[in-house]
Amino acid sequence: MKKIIFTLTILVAVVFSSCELDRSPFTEISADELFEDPGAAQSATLGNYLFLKGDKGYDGWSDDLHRISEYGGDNVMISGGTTDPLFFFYNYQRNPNNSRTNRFWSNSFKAIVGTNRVIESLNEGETEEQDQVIGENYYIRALVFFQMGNVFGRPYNQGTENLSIPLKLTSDIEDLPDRNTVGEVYDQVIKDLKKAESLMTINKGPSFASKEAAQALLSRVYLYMEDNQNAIDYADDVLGSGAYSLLSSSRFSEMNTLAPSENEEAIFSITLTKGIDIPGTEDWFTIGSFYANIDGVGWGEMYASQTYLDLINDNPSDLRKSFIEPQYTEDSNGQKTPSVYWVNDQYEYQFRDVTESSGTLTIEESGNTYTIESEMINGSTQYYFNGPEGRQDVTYDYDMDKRNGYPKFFILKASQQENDLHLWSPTVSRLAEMYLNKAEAMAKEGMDQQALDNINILRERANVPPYTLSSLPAGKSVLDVVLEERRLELAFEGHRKFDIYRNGRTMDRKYPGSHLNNSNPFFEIESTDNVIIEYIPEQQILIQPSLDQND
Amino acid sequence: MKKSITLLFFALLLPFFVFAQEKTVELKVQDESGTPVVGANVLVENTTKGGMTDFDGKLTLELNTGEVLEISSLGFETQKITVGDKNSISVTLKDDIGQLDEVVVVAYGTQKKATITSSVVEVKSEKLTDVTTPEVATMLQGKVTGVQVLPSTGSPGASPSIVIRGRSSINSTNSPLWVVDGIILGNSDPKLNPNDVESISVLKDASATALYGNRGANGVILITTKRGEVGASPTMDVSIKTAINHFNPGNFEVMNSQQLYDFHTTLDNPNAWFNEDLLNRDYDWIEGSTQAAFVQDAAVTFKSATDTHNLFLSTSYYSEEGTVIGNNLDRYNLRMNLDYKISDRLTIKPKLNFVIDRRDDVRQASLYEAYNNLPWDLPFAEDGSVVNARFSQGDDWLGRDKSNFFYDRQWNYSDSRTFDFFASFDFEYKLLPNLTYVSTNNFTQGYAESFSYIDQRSNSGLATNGAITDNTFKNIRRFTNQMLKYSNTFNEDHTVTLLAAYEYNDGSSKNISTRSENVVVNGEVQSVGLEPAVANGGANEFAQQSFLFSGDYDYKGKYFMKGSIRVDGASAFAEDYRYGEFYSIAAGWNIHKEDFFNSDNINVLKVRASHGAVGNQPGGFGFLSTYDVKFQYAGIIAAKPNRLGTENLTWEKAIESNAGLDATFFNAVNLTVDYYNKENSGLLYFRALSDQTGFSGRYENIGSITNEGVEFALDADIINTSDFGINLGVNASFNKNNIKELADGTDIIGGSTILREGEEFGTFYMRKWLGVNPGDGSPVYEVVDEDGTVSTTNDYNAATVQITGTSNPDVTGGFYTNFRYKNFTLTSNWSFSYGAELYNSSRNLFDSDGFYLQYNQMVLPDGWSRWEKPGDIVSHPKPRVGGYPGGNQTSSRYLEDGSYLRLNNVRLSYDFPQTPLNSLGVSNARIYLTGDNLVTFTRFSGVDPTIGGAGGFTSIGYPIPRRFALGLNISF
Repeated sequence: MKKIIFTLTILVAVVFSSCELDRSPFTEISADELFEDPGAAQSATLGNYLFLKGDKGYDGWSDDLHRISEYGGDNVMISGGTTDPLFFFYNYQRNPNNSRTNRFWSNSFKAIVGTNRVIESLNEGETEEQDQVIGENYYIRALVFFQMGNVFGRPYNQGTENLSIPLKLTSDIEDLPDRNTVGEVYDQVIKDLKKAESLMTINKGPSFASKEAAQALLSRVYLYMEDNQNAIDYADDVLGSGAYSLLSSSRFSEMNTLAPSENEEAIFSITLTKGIDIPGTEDWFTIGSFYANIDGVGWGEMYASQTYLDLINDNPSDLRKSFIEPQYTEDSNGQKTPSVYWVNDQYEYQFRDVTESSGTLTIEESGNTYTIESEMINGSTQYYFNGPEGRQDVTYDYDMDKRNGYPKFFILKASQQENDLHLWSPTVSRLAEMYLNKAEAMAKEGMDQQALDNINILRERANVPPYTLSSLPAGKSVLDVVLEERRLELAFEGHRKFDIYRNGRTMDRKYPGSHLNNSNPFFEIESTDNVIIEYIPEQQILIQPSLDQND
Repeated sequence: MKKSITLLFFALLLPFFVFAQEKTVELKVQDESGTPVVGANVLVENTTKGGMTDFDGKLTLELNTGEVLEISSLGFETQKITVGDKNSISVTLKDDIGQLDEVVVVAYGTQKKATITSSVVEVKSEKLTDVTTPEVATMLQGKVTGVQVLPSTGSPGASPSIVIRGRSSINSTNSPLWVVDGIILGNSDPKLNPNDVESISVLKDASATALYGNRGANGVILITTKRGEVGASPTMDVSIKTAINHFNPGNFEVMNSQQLYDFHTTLDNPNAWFNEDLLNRDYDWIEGSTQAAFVQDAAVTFKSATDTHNLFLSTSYYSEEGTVIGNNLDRYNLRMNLDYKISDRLTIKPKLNFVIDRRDDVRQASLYEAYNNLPWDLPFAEDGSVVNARFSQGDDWLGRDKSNFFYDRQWNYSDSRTFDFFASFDFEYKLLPNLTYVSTNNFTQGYAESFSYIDQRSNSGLATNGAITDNTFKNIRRFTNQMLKYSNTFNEDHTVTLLAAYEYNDGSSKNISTRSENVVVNGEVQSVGLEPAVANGGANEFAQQSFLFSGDYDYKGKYFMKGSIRVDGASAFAEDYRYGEFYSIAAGWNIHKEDFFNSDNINVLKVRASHGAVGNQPGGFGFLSTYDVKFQYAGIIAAKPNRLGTENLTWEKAIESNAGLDATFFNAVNLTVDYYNKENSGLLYFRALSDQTGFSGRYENIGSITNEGVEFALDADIINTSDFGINLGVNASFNKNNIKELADGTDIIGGSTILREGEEFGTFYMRKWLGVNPGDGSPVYEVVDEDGTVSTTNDYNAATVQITGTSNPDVTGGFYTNFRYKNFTLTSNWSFSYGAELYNSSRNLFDSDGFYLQYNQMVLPDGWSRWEKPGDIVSHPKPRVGGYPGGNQTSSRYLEDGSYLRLNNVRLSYDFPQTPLNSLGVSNARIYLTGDNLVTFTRFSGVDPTIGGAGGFTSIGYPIPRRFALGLNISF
């Protein structure tokens, strides 16, 4: 009996042997613990880059920025509707509750506060490595302020008193500034970039910020401000550093497959790492997956626009066509079907199969047969037929796979890094942009020949004939041609929308795409229109009512 | 010679004289209502002669006239009767009210029902096992006033969520605490075999739950598992049930080929693919992805109880096919409860329970796709092969998602197993006649593993050439409670019970997930994958220790009171804020025991009142500011700010007062009415901060919510004779929820809901839809200016976001009917909810006025129609390609009335007559037919107004099936 009681007491004592209540989480570190470590600033800076990239390479700051900036341009079209709020960046049906806009705003401030925290925790002038870290944080902050200003604030030349974004310069949670003006934001961006330029002396490659990256961004910022001389000078600083060179033509046509560290033209790219980023089946969430379906993966709903294709087809040998992959239909023997197509007055594609007999090409149209004729214009062949309503110019190609009647011109520029599906490290700055910045600034200063010289460097690389002052296309000025070159070169890299509006031009959306399928389609958008900038997230205004909403 | 023959003759006859005085007597024993008393002890006084009555209450004995028989049976007054001249004796035993003081299971013990001061409702096993379910929580639906049971999905094994007395926590759980046989298991439905449940006590007010301290604020559900019946002979019960389930999509229906064609015609669909050929194709996706599903439920229990041993053994097998194809559940249960009285003082009570779940070869059809896909897309080609929608060319496949779940299903599957093991070693030691030491010690281990195989030929596997994923999850909880209990009656009138205890509870869990890609066909292990792709793992821990004290006192069963206090410390809070006190005090008065009370018709009249404070504990580490170290940039681990901590984070406190009345009339009608007033303050809320802080928000204890209400339960035995009985019951609860205070008085807006002082928790906040403009068929919204002027607009963006209703019902409850005629019983059980609004999120896709041309659309229920010409006053705008900007975005257009009345269960059962059974050795047999979820009356246009929880938002989901079951219970 006593034995039993004894055993039971021991059992009970064993059961409640540990009564200490301290427990810790497993996948996080407390902030106090982190900042005890000397390498903390480095790790935290990487955390700031991480906000730009996104935890696993998607849904991060650069992802939403791309959708906002590229989809509002005229290089792309969508072949249907979608529940994803990116649709509203594309068709200009803005909405103050757009979850991507909200996330972009939120990720922006997370990165900004993250950089402020590191900057506050370090003193300048102690070591080179530490200054490099501080400089990188200033760069990141400037990049984020700059792009936020482009998204939520009007172009610089429309008025420096216009409202832009709040300039948050501390990590204090009580510090909640109201919206600063466009002028103030540009001033802060330039100040931060110049500070970054002076502090950074170590170039760790295009995955990280560097002095040259700061200079490249300064060139762009000054270009946007129309301070043309500074734009040229900073571009020259980058070109003269010798740290970068243009990709050769053959490597350029595979540019999307190069990891940033293998790309001698990349100045700063938000780097995704093969094998770690975009794990498993998560390619469906990437930018590239919306542009193409590769190996069964990808939505493949957004294609190159007809106007972009017309522009690039002016020179069929243009190497930039390697980033567009038309999805031709093939029969069971792998043969493609010759076809012609055109766009009708309702902005619908019309495809017709071409029958060839003894050298004559014919098509069927409303029961009648028409012959396809051709003529040479400016050194290239233009096909056409004389139809019931007169001459109809057509493109002679092959029949294509379509979605809702829109032919699938897949865009590959945002996929296939290291041949891995939709892995892609978004380019922030690359050398080609330096030439383009110079050309545009020069054109605006009347330095026409030098402007052309700069874009001819890119044209040569892209395997298209150079421009001369006397051979400019009819009705086009040097600036027009420079902007066209910028469009061709930087397509699908998130520049076009900003480039059009800051130059006071009208966005031409008169081409096929689902942006025209609603009760209030935008065929054209003026640079003075309200819709060119996003609404401030409504939830943020409800929390901080002193923030003014955009019109 | 003559003399010896006479003597011999007499000698021979002598035995007969002796025997002639003893005669065969048949004794029949019954109770006051005429039911035979089985197993009554019959003893012939001053002898050892006697016996026990059989199943008909009869006993045949050889008796002498004049002998005195003593007849006794548990629950009855012992009777003595003298054997008379007759050969048959009929005895009627009277109920012994003294021994039948009903006892109710409450926190950490039991209390006599007569002297309970708290709001506790006990439901016994017979009332629970009408429905066919493997989940204990589902059994409570509609049966307890103030308890709302909300199913999550109709998938086999899915457990519902339970809300008691309204929702009071914004960010922490609103689920009650589950306690099984004295062991605190947590806030989720424990995997118990419903056949093992003897009774469930629901503790609702603070005085009942205060002994659970920082986890009691949402109410407590106490489960007691079965034991043997002392005094009864060992029995073995076998129950077998087979059921057939049908997919039950409620009021929600998507279009068929003709309907969709007509809809697109009115839309003027301009696409080339829209032509009459479409009418030749009509595939019913819902039918293709659902099936009539079978349920098998077999259980065997063995009970045996003597003075020293009480053994309960049970084992069961439950198998349910899903009404959506490709997901079936098998569950195995084994339980052993033993109470072993080693000596007069010491009783040990070991318990063991194993539950094994298996889901094999899961290839669940996608209900989302089944609703979305167009009837014009056929999943199978003419030769029977499966169409690969993803790679279809041109307009061969019209559905927007280009997805045919049948394709990947040919090869891809998953398996999962869970294994839960509960072991308790409890014992009781009588230190003194009135002082007992009770020790409860429990160890629970849960283990879950899942496996998924993706074939290289499937669309999901194309990019990675197939993949194999293995996940394991392990979870251990330890619980121990050491308690001293003192119970004594002084001077016959004063009864005192005291208890003091120390309790410690901790747990840890760990999970691992691995995935390999580029795998061989039909591979089953990680090693056949050439590329390791993902390795993830996490872990979690918590611990808590507590001290409890409780005392109750009653005077003559007339006046009684109870008080308790509990101190808890938990690991989820910073060291300085770790401990909290929770208390309660209650009193009651049995008016019917007073001398001045003289009503024959009112048998019991009791009033009671209580007041107390309980807590609601969050999990996690909200007090710590942390950095995340899970992700990388350029291949190097990055530290990213993760959470802004709040050092002084502490419990949510719930202070509740309760007043109640219990009455019994005419010995047949029971009425309970409770009024409660509960305030939950210091609510854990993730307060949204401006994004400019670098964080989206942080946890703080802010604000308070009150729930005030009345609960009402009535149970009446309208007729109760041996042959015929009618019993009806109804319960209803009216709860009013109010947000009393928020930090700084500012509104908290989240998505489409708002928390605002003075409004209810669960208030919808969205643009207000006014209808359709009769002139042009366009949507109309309401605009409210700052000065209050109301106007209308067609522009979604210009419409004012405002309060448009709440998700809280005005009244919820249930009722049941029970008809008994001889051996037949017919019962029905209903539950209802009235006054809640419910947001039908799926209508964004299915009722889009033409925004989505390549998703199927819903068939408009009666009463709704689309605009066609000027002057039409209708519910839906004119459909057109591209829809209307904002037309299918969030607005009160999709906010509907969520009221419903549901017939949860109907049951017809027949008890076989005893006599023919007994000859087979069977003591009881019952056969029954049931129907679950037969009909739901609701205007809600979605799939099911009850699924999706109390949040107010529901979408297309896996509906609760309609079930028909046939069952047989046999006892040996």
